[in-house]
Amino acid sequence: MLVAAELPTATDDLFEIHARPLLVAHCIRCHGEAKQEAGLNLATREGILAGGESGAAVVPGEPAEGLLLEALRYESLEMPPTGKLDDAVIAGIEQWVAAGAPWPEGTVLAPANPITAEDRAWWCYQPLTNPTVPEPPAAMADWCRNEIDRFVVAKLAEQGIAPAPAASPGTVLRRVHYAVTGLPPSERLLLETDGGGTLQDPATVEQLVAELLANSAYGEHQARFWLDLVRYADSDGYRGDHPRPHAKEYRDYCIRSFNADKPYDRFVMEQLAGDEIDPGNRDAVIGTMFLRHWIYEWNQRDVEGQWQKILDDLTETTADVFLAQSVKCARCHDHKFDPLLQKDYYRLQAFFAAFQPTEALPVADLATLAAYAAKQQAWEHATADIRRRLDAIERPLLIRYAKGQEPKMFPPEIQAMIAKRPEDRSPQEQQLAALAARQFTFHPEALDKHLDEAAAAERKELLAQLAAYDSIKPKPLPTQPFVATDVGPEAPVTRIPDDRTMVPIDPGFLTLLDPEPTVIEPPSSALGTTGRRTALARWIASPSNPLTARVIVNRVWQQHFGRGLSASTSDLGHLGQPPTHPELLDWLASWFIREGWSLKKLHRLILTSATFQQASDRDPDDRITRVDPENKLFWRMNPRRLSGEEITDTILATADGVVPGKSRQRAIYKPVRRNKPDPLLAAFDLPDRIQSAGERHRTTTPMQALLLANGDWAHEQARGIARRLQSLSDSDFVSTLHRRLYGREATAGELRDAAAFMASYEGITPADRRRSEAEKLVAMPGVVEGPAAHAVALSPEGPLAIDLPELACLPVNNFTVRTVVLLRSVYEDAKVRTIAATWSGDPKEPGWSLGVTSAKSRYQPQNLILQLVGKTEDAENIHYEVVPSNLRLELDRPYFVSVSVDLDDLSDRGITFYLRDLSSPDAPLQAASVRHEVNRFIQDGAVLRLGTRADKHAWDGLVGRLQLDAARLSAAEVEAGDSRGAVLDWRFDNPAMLGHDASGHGHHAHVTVGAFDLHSPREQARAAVVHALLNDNELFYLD
Amino acid sequence: MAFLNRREMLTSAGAGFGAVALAGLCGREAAASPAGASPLAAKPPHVAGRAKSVIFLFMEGGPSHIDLFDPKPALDRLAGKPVPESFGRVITSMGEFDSPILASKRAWKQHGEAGLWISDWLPHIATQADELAVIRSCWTNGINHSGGVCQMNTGTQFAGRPSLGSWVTYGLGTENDNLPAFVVMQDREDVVVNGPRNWGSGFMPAVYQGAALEVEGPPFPNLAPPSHVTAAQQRLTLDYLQARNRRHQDGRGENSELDARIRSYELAFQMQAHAPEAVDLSSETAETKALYGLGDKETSAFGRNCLLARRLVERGVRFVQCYHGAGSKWDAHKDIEGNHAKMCREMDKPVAGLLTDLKRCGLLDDTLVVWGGEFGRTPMSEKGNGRDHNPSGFTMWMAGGGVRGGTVHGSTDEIGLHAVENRLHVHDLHSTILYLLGLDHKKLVYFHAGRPERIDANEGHVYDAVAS
Repeated sequence: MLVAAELPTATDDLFEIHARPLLVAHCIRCHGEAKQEAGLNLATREGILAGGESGAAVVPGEPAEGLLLEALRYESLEMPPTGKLDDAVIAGIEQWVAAGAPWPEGTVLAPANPITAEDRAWWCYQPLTNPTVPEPPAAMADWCRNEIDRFVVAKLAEQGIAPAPAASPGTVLRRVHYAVTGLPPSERLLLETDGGGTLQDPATVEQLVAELLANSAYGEHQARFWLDLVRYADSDGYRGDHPRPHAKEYRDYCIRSFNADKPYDRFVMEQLAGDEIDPGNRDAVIGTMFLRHWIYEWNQRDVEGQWQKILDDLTETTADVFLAQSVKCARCHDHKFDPLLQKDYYRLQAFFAAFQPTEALPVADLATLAAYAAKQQAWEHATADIRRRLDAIERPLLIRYAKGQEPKMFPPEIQAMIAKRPEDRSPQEQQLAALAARQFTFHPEALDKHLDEAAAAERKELLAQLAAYDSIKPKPLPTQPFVATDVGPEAPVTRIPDDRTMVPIDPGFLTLLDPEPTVIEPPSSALGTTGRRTALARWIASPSNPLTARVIVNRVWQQHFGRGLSASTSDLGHLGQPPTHPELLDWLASWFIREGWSLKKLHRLILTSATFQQASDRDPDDRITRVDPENKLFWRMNPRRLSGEEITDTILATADGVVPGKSRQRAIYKPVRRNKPDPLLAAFDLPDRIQSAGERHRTTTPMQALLLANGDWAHEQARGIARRLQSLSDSDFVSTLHRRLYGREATAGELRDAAAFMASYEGITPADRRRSEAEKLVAMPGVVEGPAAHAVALSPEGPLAIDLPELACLPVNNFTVRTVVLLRSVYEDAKVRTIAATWSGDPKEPGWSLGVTSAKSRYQPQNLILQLVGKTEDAENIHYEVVPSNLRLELDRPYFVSVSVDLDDLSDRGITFYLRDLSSPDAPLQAASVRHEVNRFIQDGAVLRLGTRADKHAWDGLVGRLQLDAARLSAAEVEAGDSRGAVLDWRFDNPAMLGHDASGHGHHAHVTVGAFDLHSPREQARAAVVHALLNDNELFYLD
Repeated sequence: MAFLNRREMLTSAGAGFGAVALAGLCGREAAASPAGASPLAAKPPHVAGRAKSVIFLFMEGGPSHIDLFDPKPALDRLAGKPVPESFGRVITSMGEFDSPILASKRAWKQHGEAGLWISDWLPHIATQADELAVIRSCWTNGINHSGGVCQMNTGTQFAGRPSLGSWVTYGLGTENDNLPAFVVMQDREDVVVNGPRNWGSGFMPAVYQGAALEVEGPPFPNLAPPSHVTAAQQRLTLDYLQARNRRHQDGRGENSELDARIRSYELAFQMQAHAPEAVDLSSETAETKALYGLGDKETSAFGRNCLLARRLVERGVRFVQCYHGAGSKWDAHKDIEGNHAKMCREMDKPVAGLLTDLKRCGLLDDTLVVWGGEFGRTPMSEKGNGRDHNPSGFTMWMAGGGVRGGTVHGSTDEIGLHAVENRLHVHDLHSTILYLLGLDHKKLVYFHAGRPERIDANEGHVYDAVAS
């Protein structure tokens, strides 16, 4: 209650009406008690009268003088910098100054509490709700497949819009396949699903999504989005851009985590505090590499500056990635649009105050760590005096003779920290000294050179004394490089830079959500950490955090629909966009938490929704154009352009068949050099991986066109693919390309156009590039007619290679190989001339190999043998065995060769070899049956190769035809040339279709002829078709 | 088969090279432009009538201001002594703050009607003194090359932001669809510090990034098909591809990116046809080539780049950046005499030739030429006869479009260590360059991750005293 004497006077009113609101709202954040830019403090009367560096701010009674009014009028200085204020406001100040600038005695202006009720009401800060799933309109009940659809259709119905028709099954197959794996559907899957036709049944889609999520390609695809978010790279950035050899362990950790469907809350916890929450789990420890992906300058002498930059990076990246809060603005001032205070920035940063990057973090459980720490402490205690004396001798010289960047290049205060013993450094000194120490190395082994005799002797004595305590020193624990922990149990003080009040900032969450400092539970002392990051991780990964689940669910939605339910996935604040479907977002987030933070379940729910499976080619009618031209309500699917990684992987898959999980060819495995990004990925909007990126740009540039139309890589891939498919007829060739690239059959028109194009192309291709194609083929002596009359010549020098990489079609237990061969020579040693093999030559890898022995073989030379690698009846280890036929081949003579195998038959009839000399019309079919031991597990990976299994075991001579049947053929069948369960029948009688499969199964051989041996006009024309199809929009866009 | 008519398509393509870059997300300016317009379409500046393009001559490694444009007699007096305490201590890259002051061995003379001080290392540039606005009071934060070069290009020491050329391209678009809007050249093979990131578009779409002109061979990467593909084969393939793409587009009309991508191939083909002409110097006279120092072993590399720069701005390229001493070759930590004498010889004549040539072609009024490095060099010696990096005070100059020549601005302290008068931070330089192009640095805003971003991180001030 005011008493009369204290009632404000009329002149005081001028202060309250004009001066205080202006100063508080526009001035004192930069010119106040905490911060005094240009030396100016407008929070007190004294400050106003004293002014700043440029002169007095206010001269009482003189509105024509003083810099405050000058600046407000934008005459000399221009204040506030955000824009000139209304004339009325300025007039009010003039009035106040004219009246003598009254100021209530002792009043110090303070910033108003900037968080308003309106701020608190912003959607993303509200507790997560679990809205009721709406009942769909009766007409739409059948359309809905799950809850997502009910939310979506409810919104659409409000606007009187019906959802789009379902996309064609083929489109759904391709869309779903890329959504989960980032790869095109394989030809086999196309076959199995009848080109996607079976996906009309929702149960089949469910099954497909489940199968794809179980494929390791899922993790490889999903990791890409995460690596963008966490600014992952394999190099430092800056000038040196030195490689980070261990960073890839984090990439692989992400892939593993996604594939294992690690609960998201756990995934978050590991990355922020894996060292504290699960120190014995190497994976959890690797998770903390999240805290290591900042750019780093290897020779930066401003150590404090670089350290602050690292802490800023951790603060901002954490807020961006997990909370979608754009705190960066608040680094220098309270956020202008969001209720984020500058203090909040540093409260958040304080969680990382004790942060310590380390290259050797012990990986051990708490008990082990505690035992180790106890021993270490005892040793340290016992040796303290010795080590102190030793350090006094050694340290100055270690510093003087350090290699790398010389310690004396650092500012004096940093040099002083380096000169201290680690145990004498404050936590912050330790952090800075450790950062500086990355630039040089100490060389104790060279110390003796630099010590005088007495010192050297003393050192020697001290070292001997120290060695006496080795027995009580704990054995080193296994460690993990390139991870993070704390500098110690005590954190350095966090302060706001340039804050003259120097108030220490305690760790805390966003003031709006929880204004109190966070209570930090001290962790086990064995960890030697502060527990701060664990506290932050727990808060972020808590089901009650209103941001975390919404943020990740929104990101996944964006990944699949091209737009988040809130479109600004890394900024849910006021400058971002409120969600189009807030209830759906909340429902999904709550459901996600209830389902154990399972990302796989979330993907499954989204991908199996009718919303996701809508057609994308729906034209908007007038109503839609008026109400929702941007498709915020999902009245159709958004078409999507493939990422650079998907483009790369698709082309690679077409060329070679990427084997997910086994192949490290996928783009995700390419090292990310910050200063030298992969050209194709960079052209297709790879983020710079310096800051967190929640969304990629999607640009279309002529540079991309030049890269793919002219660049070597695309041409090489096109030629490689053409080479792989060279045994196919033109129409099969074009059809295969359509299936592999676009996941569909070519139309008759497309086949015609492609044929016409190839003909035209061949026509304008210079004739001088023609090669004699026939030279690859030779007549098989002794075979006058029939499929084996022509053969390919194989030799250990190549360059012809013939194989079939898709091994899944090959038989596992019973099989028969038949072929016609001519052997020109054997090796001088004991190597084998291989006819055909699925075995790689590695005794640990299963497979079989049919071949002929050489000069020094223990089975005698020129003996037809089968090598089997697999498991035997009673042992689990891989067993290698040779099954010799003792049937022998003469050199330079054509033979029919066969082996018929029944793996299960362990009698002496299990394997039968056949051999017939074709040079003599009357030669009989010789047969030999042999016992074997390996009876299972001979088929797991690898490739069927003709004429080689490893470079050192190659055929030298001719191979005419190769037949493989998935059955143990009888002697009569072999004799008669009958087939049963035919798998393939490779022919070499047509130079344009080498390795064509005549069995009707389309298991054509992949034929490779050196690197550049594919230059006939026809081959060039076929490579040109591939090249055109690789550039086709249909490859780049998913409907 | 209905092959596409290229001319028809180009006509319908409208804005050309940039038209296809449907980047989206381009902040206020682009969002306000008509739907489908190219982000690279030429845009009017905020204020008309100033420079239209920029040639930024980047002396990489840090030239010594106190040996070129900022004479300091006190250095002779203090030579051999440590820096007096009164000048204030700074962190130096190589930690030799306490090394003795090194005198400048240069002979200084005043040049032009305005009497600008220029040292005897730059006899050719000295003849152009009346074109130069020399700013002696520049300062920056980066004490190392990486941070310094990054900051001079992007405003901050730390990677991730768009370069000045990207901002200018974002603000003004391009006048030539057949060439990149922002072209970067370097005088030697060595990698410019930080690599292509220096001309990257940071958080902006890649459409605004610089294109590096190759020192040899085709001017831009992938500009020509591989040798085994003839022009006729390429055309045939492109026609086949585009016919397929058009058919694919039927019924997908809602997806405007498809059309953009179709056009990007035609425009790439146009670039392939036209870019080689732009960089073909055979039509230049022997006199012109001599003016730039072509034919002389020392000057020909940078001379060629300066001449190319003229040809590019002549053809409407918006922003050209020529690195001299690529790979920090100006970085004279030791033997500054030997290093700078050579670097100056390589650069002096080509730069003077460029100014002369721009003037006589009538291009100088429309072209802003900026000269400088990422920082200057210390008055203290390093390794006896070199100088360390000096971010706290150094010289840059501007000439041409909108600049009042024959002027000197700001000053450093008595020994050239700190900028003291009219201090211009890199943010101020950037703001001023935009100003000279008719762009308001406060209005050239790009929204990124919830923040309205500016080239100057909201801290720059225009220094309009350099303007005519």
